[in-house]
Amino acid sequence: MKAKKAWFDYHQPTLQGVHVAGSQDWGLFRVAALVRDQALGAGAMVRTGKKMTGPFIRPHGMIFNNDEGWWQRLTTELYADPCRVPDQLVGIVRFDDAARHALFHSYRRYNEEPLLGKSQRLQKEVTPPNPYHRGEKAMIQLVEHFELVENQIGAMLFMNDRLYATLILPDPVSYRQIHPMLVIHVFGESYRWQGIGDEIPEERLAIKAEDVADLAQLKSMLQAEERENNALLDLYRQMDTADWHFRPAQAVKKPEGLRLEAALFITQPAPTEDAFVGEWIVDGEGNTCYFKSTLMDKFCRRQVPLLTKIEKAGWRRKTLLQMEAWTEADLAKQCKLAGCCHLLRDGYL
Amino acid sequence: MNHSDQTAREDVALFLNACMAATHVADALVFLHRYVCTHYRALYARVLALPINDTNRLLIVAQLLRHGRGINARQRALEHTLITRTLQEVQVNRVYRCFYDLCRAGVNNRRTRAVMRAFLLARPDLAFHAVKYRSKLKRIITHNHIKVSAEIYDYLCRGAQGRPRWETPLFERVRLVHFERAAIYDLPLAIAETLAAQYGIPRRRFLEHMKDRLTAKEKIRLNNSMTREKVRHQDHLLKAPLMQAANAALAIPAAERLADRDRWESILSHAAKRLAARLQRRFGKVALVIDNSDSSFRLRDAANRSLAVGLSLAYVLPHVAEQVRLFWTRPVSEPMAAEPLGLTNLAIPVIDALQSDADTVLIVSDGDENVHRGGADLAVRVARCAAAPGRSIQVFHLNPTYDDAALQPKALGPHITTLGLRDPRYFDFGLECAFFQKGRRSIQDLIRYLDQVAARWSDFEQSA
Repeated sequence: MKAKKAWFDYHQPTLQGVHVAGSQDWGLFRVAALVRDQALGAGAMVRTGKKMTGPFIRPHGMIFNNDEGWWQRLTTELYADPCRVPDQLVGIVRFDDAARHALFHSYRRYNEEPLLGKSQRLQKEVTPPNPYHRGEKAMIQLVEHFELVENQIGAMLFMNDRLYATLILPDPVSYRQIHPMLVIHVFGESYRWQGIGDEIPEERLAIKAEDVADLAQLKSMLQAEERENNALLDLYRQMDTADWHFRPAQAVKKPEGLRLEAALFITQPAPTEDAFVGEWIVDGEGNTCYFKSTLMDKFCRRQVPLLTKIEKAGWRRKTLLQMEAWTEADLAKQCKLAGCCHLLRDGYL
Repeated sequence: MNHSDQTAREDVALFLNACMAATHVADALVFLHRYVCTHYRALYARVLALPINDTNRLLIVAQLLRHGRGINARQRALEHTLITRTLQEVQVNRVYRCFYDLCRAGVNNRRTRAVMRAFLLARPDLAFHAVKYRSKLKRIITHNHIKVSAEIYDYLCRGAQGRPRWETPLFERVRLVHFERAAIYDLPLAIAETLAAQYGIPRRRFLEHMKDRLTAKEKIRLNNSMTREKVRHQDHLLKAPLMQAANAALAIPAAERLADRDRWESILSHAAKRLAARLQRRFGKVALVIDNSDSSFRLRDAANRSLAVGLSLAYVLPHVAEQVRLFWTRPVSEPMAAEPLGLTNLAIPVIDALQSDADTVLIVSDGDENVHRGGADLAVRVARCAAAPGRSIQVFHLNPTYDDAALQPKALGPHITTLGLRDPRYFDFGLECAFFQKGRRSIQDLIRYLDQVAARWSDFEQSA
């Protein structure tokens, strides 16, 4: 019997028509701009003829949505209260231990660093400005630094030459809306603590002045360096999709008269990832009908059925009943497997 | 050059750059003013006579008024002349802001009171100011016990209070606005605009009624707005200064601009010719590198400023140089098609500029080089090492944005002289500062130059 293909095998996000248009760095951070000459059509992300817009890719999950207003709502939330970022963005980048280590040491360096000043006298007399304001200024600089490219629809985010996340939006307008907050909340928080974004000292620059004989040689070296940036996309293509921790949901029976279709899409953590659990359920029409993210540590890893949590949360909407009808068996099992214990955010039902 | 001379040169260069580029009053800028005022008071006061921006001129005035103790009579007289003339030249709303801040800070010395009183009593239109700057004027008058006419005092401090009508026509018209909307159109634009928004008068109707009552500057400012609202009007931008014309051009999409190319060309060319006639410095072969990346528009502190300066120079330089070649970070067919987009890849166009036979390379950029970090500086360094003997290339980075934390405009690197330039009107003076910064002029030379510039004020000469 022919093995049944998983849902994700059919719908793996392809980067057809997307190419890298240069990368920008800021200390250890690097953002490679992804551009698409044509707006995202039905070809790249399609599920049996149903158009899905707003694909959102990250190491831990993916959100599909065909609601036109979804991104507008998200960005409205972001602009209204940047401190309370929706979970969708908070979780884009998760630093591993090595990165945390780097952050910690950079943080120490930041605090011990003297204030910038031109002359010795200035250094003595300038009182350090309020760190909050300094941080705000840094945020603005950061946003101004990572510039938009024509027809940019996404970005690949690196730290210390390691790919952390890829974000692709349906069209340049959506990306333009999300860009400032993306930069602030992905890199900004780290920058606020540390000196990762400091100027790169000359000895770390790729091209040394001593190695260059004349301007023509320098130009060719710079152009070669630029071409190397385009190899970043190949890096993405070469990645094993298993690293992205997607897993198709198991089919569940659909009760009579239920709006949702049986095909669900649930993301789960990989066995090696014990610090984060993200879970999204997307219905057949591409609507996110349930979303939650959980931060786990060794003190709170308990297997709690999802429905128990839902009841405790007092979720009394009619749609809950609908959900209970079809998730009672399968979803609880999925939840147990995932080891979820906190319901942080419910989705759109 | 000994260490103290070097420190003084750095301090003064830092300050002069700040005076041209900084427009946002931050703690660091205030500190810099206080520092220079304390250590270089003679030079500090003379800077008032220079073509620096209004923000810094008024900061200097405020510092001089705050810290006037312990100076000799000659210096005091000199400062008084400079302050008085500055207050006459600077826009009046900014003067009121400066006075208001001094009052809030509790500055109440005799000299400050005298300066404020003299300024207010010399206003021919104090009633107009009473309406427009009501809260500030009230604070200034009450803080300094300045005697103004009884009606103005009542208007500011007591309100109508049962008074059936005002003798001053402007006050009376303001009163009538509450009963008759048409009275709004009798008021000056500055006041009428606020009231029109308050009473929900459509913008188009408002502009239709007001278009004949506008001052010259208001006509330029509202030109695009009237075009957008389809109000018939003359093209006032033809009389606009170059920087303002460039800003207006960049305020509309490139496609619209190109569709109306002849008009915009004419506006910018006329403004450039007028400005070129005022510039004294002449150049040989110039290569102008313009940063038209995304950040040249998106900067919060100086939106559009970098690109507007670049566009202005692209139009004015052909009049003051033998030959000009343009290089863009994102190539465009013509300056009129410039649009801010893409990354800041300065290194490649700078290399192209250095490879041309230009003897002066000007780079207009916000200094945020994010494709090849340090690439432009590296290119200049390599060019200087590899240059033929006897050939010298002058490279200047003109940056209109000021970095508060570093107390100077963001530099591209140690091998390129950076100067803050927000308006091509200050181009001459900016280059003079750059020469000073590079060490080609001593402090005495600079002071002599300052005196030459300030000599246009006859009473300054007399008092000095």
